[in-house]
Amino acid sequence: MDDGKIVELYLRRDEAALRYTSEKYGRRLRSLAYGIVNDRQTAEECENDAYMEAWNAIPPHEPGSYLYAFLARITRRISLNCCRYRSRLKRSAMVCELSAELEQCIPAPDDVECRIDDMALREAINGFLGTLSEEKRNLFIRRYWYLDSIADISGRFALSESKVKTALFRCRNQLREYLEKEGYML
Amino acid sequence: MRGSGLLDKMELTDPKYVEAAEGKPKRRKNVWLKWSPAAACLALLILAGILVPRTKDGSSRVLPGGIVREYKKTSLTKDELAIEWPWEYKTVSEQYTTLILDGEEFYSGRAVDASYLGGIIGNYDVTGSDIYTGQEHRMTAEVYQIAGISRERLVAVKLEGAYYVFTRGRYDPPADLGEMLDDYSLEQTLPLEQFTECDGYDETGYFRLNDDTYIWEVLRGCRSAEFVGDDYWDNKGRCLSFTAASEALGVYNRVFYVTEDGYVKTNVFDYGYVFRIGREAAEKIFSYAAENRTESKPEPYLHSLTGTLTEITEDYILVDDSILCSDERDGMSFKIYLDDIRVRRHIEFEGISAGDIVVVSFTGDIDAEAGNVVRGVCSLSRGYLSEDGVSVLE
Repeated sequence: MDDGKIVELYLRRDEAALRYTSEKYGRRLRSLAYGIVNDRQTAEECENDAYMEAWNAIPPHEPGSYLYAFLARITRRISLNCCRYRSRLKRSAMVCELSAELEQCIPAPDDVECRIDDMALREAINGFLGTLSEEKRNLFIRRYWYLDSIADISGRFALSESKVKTALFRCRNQLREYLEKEGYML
Repeated sequence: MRGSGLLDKMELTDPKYVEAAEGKPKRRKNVWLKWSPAAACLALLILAGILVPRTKDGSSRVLPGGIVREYKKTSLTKDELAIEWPWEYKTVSEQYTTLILDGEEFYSGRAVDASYLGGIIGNYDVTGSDIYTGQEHRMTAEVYQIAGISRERLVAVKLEGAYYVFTRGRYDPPADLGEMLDDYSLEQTLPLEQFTECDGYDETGYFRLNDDTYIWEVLRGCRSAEFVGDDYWDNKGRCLSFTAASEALGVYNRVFYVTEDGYVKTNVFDYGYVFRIGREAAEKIFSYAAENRTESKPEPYLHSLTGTLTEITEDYILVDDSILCSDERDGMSFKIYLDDIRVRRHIEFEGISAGDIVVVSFTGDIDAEAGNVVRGVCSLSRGYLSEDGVSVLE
């Protein structure tokens, strides 16, 4: 079914919206969640929670033209939080380390909440990603959006782990320099 | 803002970039962890060595490096941390990673003994870069053939007195099984001895073969077996999963599968090559293995030892495993010498310090008579305790 029609069902509070969403995007969302939480049962829970959050968020949102992106973003957030708060998943350490890696990108890290709004931060992140080559951008996104391990990225791109680490290290430095140069105070 | 906040805010990434990164790659490398059923339990085995069933009090008896220990926590999860070591903390094969030979790029790998070498090919430049300073390093090194192996596939390079296998980086799968057997002299370079019998993702037994001649004979008869892919797929039926370790090929504990439905699958050459040998040939190999096998034990990918780092000296560190024991008084202390840069760099550069939980990976054994000295240590990682085990980031 067309995304626009599925979103119409949400707007009409027709629960068939959930079934159509699951049929069309369930596998991808579950796979996305599993990549983050590494636990099948938890991934299914994240997928179901994402449907519920979408149900509560539409309306006011009307993601007719970007339904998958909308659902994927919700699924990622729920999955990431699962890793943080469910110690049995053993992924909390991974999240800590990814956070440590990304902290290297912040020009002056501190405990104050982000000083710029989401719109400006979106512009900063995507402005930076736009400066990268396609491969580097994909590496960066696999690591920090999909939370892939170095070994998985190495396998996906047929690069040695050393090359992946080097590329990510350079990307992180470039992001910090980009933020400094463009004057973004995170 | 902290890194965790930025990790959250990565959700602001443009969906078009996210979707572009989602696409499946055309080929995968080193996929064995995904398609080896044997790998499914590595997380357990790797921490402890070899597991013996749980005892009544809920702890498990394990054999790290041959020492019997009883631990309440036995699970280990490994993730990858993107540490890029400074130049001075890299081993020589990590420093000089790239060789250009006949216009092709080759990448450095494991050490190989001089006895595996063939003739010298010549002197060529090897290069590497220090990404901390941006400096490119270059030196001239002797390049050798590896006996019996096509120089178009693998060569050996002499770096600081030792030899290392360099593998051609370009993706170029063999057209058929015969080409793979010939290019790598597999019959001579890859012993098929230790294997796990699997049914789908379940491991049903661990065995050894004393003589793999017949298996190679069967495979030689399948020389025209076509190359059918470089991607993994799920194992649904029965298969024999041979542990693939070969110094000449520069590989350690990868896999060589023969499946009941007639396929050979291996990741020995980085990519997951798959050949269709047919059911009849597979049946011969299964029958031979069933008739000639002897019971064995599961082999861990690496031995490892977990504990609290209690002391750091100039020459060694001490690791105490009390935290894994049901009764802390049963803890033992182990000595790890710091004469290997792969260990020392974790202390000097990464900043692992006394009081940290560490996981020591090693390929040798533990010498109890010498004071529980751990031999063959190849890395040291900071660990994080979880409910039933330890998470490691490397």
